[in-house]
Amino acid sequence: MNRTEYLERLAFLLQDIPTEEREEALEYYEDYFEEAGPENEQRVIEELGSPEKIAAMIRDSVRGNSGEGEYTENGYYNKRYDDKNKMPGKRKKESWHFKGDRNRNIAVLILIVVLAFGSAIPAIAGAVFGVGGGLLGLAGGFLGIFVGLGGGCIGLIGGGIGLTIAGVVKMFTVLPTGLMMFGGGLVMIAVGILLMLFWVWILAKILPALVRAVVGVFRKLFHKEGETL
Amino acid sequence: MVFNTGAALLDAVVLAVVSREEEGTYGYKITQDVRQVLEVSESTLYPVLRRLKKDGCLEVYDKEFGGRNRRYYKITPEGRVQLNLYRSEWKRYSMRISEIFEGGENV
Repeated sequence: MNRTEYLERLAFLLQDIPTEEREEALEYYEDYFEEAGPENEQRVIEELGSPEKIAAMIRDSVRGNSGEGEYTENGYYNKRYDDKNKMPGKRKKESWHFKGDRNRNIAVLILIVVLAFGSAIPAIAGAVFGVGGGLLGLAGGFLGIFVGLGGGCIGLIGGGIGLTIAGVVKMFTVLPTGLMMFGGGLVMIAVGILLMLFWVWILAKILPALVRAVVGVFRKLFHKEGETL
Repeated sequence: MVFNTGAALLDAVVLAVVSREEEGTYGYKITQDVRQVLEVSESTLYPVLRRLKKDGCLEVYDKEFGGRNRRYYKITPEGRVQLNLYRSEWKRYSMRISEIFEGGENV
């Protein structure tokens, strides 16, 4: 560190004191280096000590609490500037983390565990019933889709038949419209039949499988719970 | 030195050093003069000079020297009063200590 670096560091460290005080202090130390001469630059830096120490002393002086220090045989001494006093020693590690009496703490711990388990049982039951209810709802939803699908294809076929008959009647008065209605009716019947086939497939294959699955899950859940209780 | 120097004694020595020069003297010289009698670090003097100036015991003025400004410290009348107080206090204090050390008689 040379003189310029030293003074720059000091200026940086004194940013928190009033500008006037900072400038005066920096001028003093600049003057000091100047008077000592360039040949003594390193000696002065060593003598002065770290910029941090100087900054702490100036700051203390500015804040008016310089009475703590003492001028000892080794120069000015203030225990706050002493590096040895900066860090408090490491605390002894404690093996037991709770405060207070050990036996009482164990009793409290057991109580906490029992309470936790006690509240866990209804929670588990709730979860089981919740899952069951969810599955049942899902099954009901499928059933609803199934019934709706059935109703849909009945309506389509019925409407298709009606439209076809109306088309045939209309053909005698307005031929193009009648033909269109007749064709539309036939298409509706066809889609209805297709949906009916799909419906029958669901009735035969998917529904029994779904019911089996739901019943299986319920049986499993209740069987298991019967074991734990 | 075995004995620690209290803040008041350092103030007194600094005032005495500055009062020797009618025209006043500057920081570096004050430091060197004080260090001839007391073992203090070079970093110690600035806070002391600053405080003595603030208390009205010293005044400063800038004078051109070698192409730059040199800050001079000069003792004020208040400073002289303070220095005289320190002198008489020191006389009493040092006399008692000397008597104990050398005379061995009760004061």
